[in-house]
Amino acid sequence: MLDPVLLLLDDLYRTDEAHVHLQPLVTRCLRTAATAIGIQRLLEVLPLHLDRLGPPRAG
Amino acid sequence: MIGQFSDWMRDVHYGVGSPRARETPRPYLLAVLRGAVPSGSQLAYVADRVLPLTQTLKRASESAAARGSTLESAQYHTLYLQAWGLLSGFCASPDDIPTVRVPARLCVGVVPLTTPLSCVATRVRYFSRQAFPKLARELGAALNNQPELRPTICAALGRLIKSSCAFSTAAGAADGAAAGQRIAANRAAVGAFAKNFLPILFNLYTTTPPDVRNYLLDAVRSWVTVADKPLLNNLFATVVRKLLDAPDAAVAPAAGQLAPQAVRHAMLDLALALAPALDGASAGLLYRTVTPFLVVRSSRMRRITL
Repeated sequence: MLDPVLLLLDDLYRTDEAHVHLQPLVTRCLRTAATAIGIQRLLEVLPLHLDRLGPPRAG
Repeated sequence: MIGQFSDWMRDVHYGVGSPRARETPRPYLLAVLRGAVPSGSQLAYVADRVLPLTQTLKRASESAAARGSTLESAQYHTLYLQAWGLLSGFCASPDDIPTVRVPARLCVGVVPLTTPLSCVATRVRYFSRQAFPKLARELGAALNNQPELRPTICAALGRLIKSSCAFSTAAGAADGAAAGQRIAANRAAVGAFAKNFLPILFNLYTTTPPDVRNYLLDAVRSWVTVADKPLLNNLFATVVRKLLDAPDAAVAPAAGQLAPQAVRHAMLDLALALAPALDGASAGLLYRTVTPFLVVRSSRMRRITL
């Protein structure tokens, strides 16, 4: 039930060009979710995947 | 109804939840999750997941720097610091501080993190046996070797000590005797590491410039509240000996060392930080040691002793 909501929040945050005004709200929602279900569970749904981080974009 | 809502959530935003979207890196989450660690989280998660992540990020930063990619190196370094920043949240109110005596049959193999909820108690007991000693070793090494992490680690340990003495859990409020036992177990489990952390903090305090070391003294004061009295009395005797043996102010300090007067100030700070937990004999020694400093010319020494 919560997984699609978390995925949507993640998508809203990452596509910040289109949703820049939503970021503070999305941040609060993600923090609330993490507090409710725990960081471990949240990261199971939204893995960090930092090993796949590419080089930083210019600008 | 719930199933329909889930389907709608998947469909309403094209691409959300697709395999590609799921594998996207999410470095922003480290900053978002800071301060969002729920009460009752496990220190075992830090030892098992967060610390390896920090090591991976550190290696990535060093690797990028070796390739000459300064920006990428800085990016990974920032993520490295953000990952360490999660530690403080986990230390605020963990539920696996005490070292639990685990039956041998539970110690066979590693319990996966996907263990069903019904087995969580078993998993907690398994991890409880391992978590804090391993974490303490890593934190001690990081305190020694990573100057930029020292404020973060000291703050986290301060929160851990405070929470280990706190009468705050719902179970504790409901049952005073059980809560008392829990607090005693937590204090003992954390306090057992005072003999490891206090010497490190003393050493760092006496080698760090005075204007950037207040957090170290706060950490010492926190550890004093859970450390054993004999340990504190021994450390106090060592501090007093170094205070009295500090070289004369006229002697020039060696390269990389504090001036003799600064060493005296540091030792006096440490002696006074230990004062609340000293026994009668050590308190008398403190009085005899401190009194002469009340008549010296140094206004700072007089201010510390007063």
